[in-house]
Amino acid sequence: MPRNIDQLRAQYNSSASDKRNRGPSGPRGGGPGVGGASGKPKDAGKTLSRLVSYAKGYTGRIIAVLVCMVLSTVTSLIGGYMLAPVINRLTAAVAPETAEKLSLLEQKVGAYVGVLSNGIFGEDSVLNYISSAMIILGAVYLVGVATTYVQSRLMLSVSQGIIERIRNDLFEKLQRLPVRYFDGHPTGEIMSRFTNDIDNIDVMINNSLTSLISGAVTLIGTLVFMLTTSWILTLIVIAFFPIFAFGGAKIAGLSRKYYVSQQAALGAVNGYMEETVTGQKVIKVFNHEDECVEEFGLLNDDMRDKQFKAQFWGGVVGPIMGNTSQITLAVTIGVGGILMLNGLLGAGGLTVFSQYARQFSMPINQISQQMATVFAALAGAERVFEVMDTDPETADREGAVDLADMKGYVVLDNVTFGYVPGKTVLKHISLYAKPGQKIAFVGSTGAGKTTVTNLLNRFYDIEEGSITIDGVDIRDIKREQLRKNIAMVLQDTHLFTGTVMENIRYGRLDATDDEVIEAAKTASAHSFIMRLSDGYNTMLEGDGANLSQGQRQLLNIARAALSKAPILVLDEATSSVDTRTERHIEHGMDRLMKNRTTFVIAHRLSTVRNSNAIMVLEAGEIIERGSHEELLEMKGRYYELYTGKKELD
Amino acid sequence: MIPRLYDCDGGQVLVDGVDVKDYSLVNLRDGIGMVLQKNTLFSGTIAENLRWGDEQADDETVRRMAEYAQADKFVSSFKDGYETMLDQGGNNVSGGQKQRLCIARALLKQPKILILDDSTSAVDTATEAMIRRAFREELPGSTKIIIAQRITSVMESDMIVVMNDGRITGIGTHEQLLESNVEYREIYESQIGGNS
Repeated sequence: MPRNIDQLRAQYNSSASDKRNRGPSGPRGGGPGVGGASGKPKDAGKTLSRLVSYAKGYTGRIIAVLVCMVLSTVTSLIGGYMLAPVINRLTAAVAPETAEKLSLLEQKVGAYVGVLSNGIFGEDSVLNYISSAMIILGAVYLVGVATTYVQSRLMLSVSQGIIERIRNDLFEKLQRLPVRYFDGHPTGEIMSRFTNDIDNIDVMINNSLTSLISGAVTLIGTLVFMLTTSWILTLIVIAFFPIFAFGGAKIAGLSRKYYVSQQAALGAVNGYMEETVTGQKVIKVFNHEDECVEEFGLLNDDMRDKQFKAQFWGGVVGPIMGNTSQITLAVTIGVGGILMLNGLLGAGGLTVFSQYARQFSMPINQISQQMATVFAALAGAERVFEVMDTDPETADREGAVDLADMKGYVVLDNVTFGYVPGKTVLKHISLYAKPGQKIAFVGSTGAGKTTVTNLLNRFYDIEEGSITIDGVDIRDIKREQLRKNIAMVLQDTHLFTGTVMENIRYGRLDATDDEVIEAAKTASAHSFIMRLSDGYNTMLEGDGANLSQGQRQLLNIARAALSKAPILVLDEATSSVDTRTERHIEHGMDRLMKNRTTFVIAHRLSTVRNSNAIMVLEAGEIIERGSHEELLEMKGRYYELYTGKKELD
Repeated sequence: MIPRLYDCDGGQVLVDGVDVKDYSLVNLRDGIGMVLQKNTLFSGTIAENLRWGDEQADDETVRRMAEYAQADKFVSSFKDGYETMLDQGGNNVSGGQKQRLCIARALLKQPKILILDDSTSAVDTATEAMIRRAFREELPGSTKIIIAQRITSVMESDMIVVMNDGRITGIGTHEQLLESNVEYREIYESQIGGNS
C-alpha cells in the first residue's frame, strides 16, 4: 500500500537529517550521512575569534585589503558626487543667482574644481571647468579600479591560505582520531566537514566579509554626503527606510522558510530515487513498480509546490524592493523640487541626492543577505572545530616501552569491554596464546569475535582486566610498535590507488620487489596477479574495484605475509574466497601462520579446524573452549554449529 | 532469468511448460519469491517492508512469516518491534538480520517458486538450518531454488546442479554427486568431509 505524503516526508526527511542525532548502533552501524550545511552557530563570538586566529601571519595583507576596500568604496562615492559641481556650474551659467544657494560641500568642491581648471587651462570657463571635473573623475575611477584589483588579489591569497590551514588541521586530526569516533560518525558526515562546511567558510571569507565591509562604508559614506547636501531630504529617505527593512525582512523570511522546505523536499526526492535505483531488482521481483511511481509522484508533487513557493518569494524580493525605492525617489524629487524653488537646494545637489536615495537601501540589503551566509559559515566552522576538539587517541603512556623483539605471547586476563558505555560486548574473557599457536574464535554474528581482535591492537581500550604481550600490558607498549607487530587481515579489505606491488608493500614499506613477489606466492595471489594486464605494475583504482572480492582478500593476505609481525589476526580473511580455492591456498596459509601467534575468526568451521584451541563465543562470553576433537566430543554448541544440527529452541 | 530480470540470448526458460516470455510480467513475478544476493530493504518500518510481499497481510501473518525466517526473535527485541524504522538501505540492522528480513518478505508472497540467491551467507549455520526446516514444513508445495556456497545449505535438495564457468558440470542428489563429480566432492571435503 503506498504511503501518504506525510509518512513519506517524515521517513525520507528523517533519514536525511536525524542521522547525526542517532547513537551508534554498534561498531559497524550507521549509514550514509547527510551533514546539514546550514544552521545557526551556538557561540558565534568564540568561533569567530578562533577563525581569526587562523589569520595569524596575514595581518599585513589583511590591513592592506581593508585599506584598499575603504579606498575603492570611497572612490565610487566620490565618483557619484562629481556630478554635482558639473551640474551646478551649468545651471549657474544659465541662471547665475543659483550659485549662492549651494550647500557648503558643493561650494567647496566647486571651488576646488575651479582652481584645478584654472591651473590646467589658465582660464576657468564652463567648458574647461567640465573638462577638469572629467579629469578628476578619471583619476578617481583609476584609483578605484586599482584598489579593487589589489584588494581581490590579496583577499584570495589570504582566504585560500586560511582554508588550506584549516583543511590541513582537520585532516591531520582525522588521522589521530580513535576508531570509536568513526563508529559514531558516518563517512558522509565526515566528508561534509571537508566539503560543505569548509566551502561555506571559504565563501564567507572571500565574499561576505568584503561585501559586509564595503556595504558598511558605502552606507556611512552615502549618509555623510546626503546630510551635507540636504538634511531634510535625508530625513525623508531615512523615514522610508523602516518600510524597506521591515518588508524586505518579511519577504526574505518567507522565502527562506520555503527555501528550507524546498531543500527538505529535494532531499526526500533524492533519497527516494537513490533507494529505488539501488533496489531496482527487488522492486521488479515484488511487482512494486506502480506503488513506487505513485509514491514518487506524491513526493515530486510536494517538491513542485515547495519549489514554486520558494522561488516565487525569492524572485519577488528584488522587484518589490526596486519599486519601493522608486517611490522614495519620487518623493525625494518632489520634496527636493520644492526645496529648490525655495532656494534651499541646488540642481546638482538634487541630482546626486536622487541617486543616493535610490542606492540607500542597497548596502543594507547586501548586509542583511550576507549575514545569513556568515551564520551558515560560522555554524560550519563550529562543526569543523568540534571535530578538531575531539579527543585524539590517548597518547602513549609515560615510559611506554619499545618491545623490539616481540615473541607473541598473548594473554587476555578477565577482559570486559563495550563499545557504548553500559552495553558490554565482552564479559570476563580470559585466554592465552603461546608464540606460534593458532587460536580460533567461532560463534554467531554479534557474539564478540571481531571485538576481541579490535582490542589487541588497541583500536579500543578495555574497561576491565588486562591484555599483555610477552608479559607487558599493551597500554605500556608504544602504539606504533604494537601495531607494527600485529598483522591484520580484516573482513573489509581496503586497497589504495596505486600498483599491486605498492599495495602489497603496504605490509612492510622496506620490502624489496622479490620479497613482495614471494609474499604474493605465499598467499596464492601470484598466479592471478600475473594474469592481470600489467602484472605487479597493474594500477588498482578506487579501492581495487577492478578485482573480485576473493582476489582482494588474497592481496590482503599477501600484505600480511610480507610483514614480519609475530602476531597475526585473520578476521574472516578468506570468507570471499570459495572453499575450493581456500583449500588450495591452505599451504600458503600454513606457511603464513608458521612461527606466528595467530588469531583466526571465521564463519566457516573448515577454516578453524586445525587450531590449537577454539573459543566458542556466545553473547560476549566464552562458552566452550578446546581443540576441534575435544569440542566435537563435548556435543555442545560447537558440535551443533559444526553439524548444522542445532535443534529449534 | 526466471523472473525475467534478464532475457536469455538463446534457448528457453519454461515455467509450468510455458515460456516465461509468454507470461505477463506482473503475473510471472507475482508467482516468484526471490531473495537476492545483494538485497535491499527500504526506508520505512519493518512491517511496511515485510508487507511488500503481501499488502493485505495481517499482523499475525507478518509475525509468523518472520518467525519462519528466524527474524521474529530479534525484531521483537527491538524497542518498537515491527514498527522499528529502517534507515535507507536497512543500514541499521546487521547483515544477517537484513537477510532474514528479506527472506520473511519473500515468504509473505506465498510464492510458487522461491529463489534464494546466497541469501543466508551472513546467517550462522544453526539458524540457517532452522530456516531451511521452516521452508520444508511451511512451503511444501513451492519449488525452491537455492544458490549457495555452503554445502550444508544445499545438501538436502532433491537435485543439486554443480556449475563452473557458466557450464553445468554435474546434476544429481548429494549422494550421487559425491560419487560422480570430482568438483562437488572437493567442495564437500573442503567444507566438511576432510578427515572425518
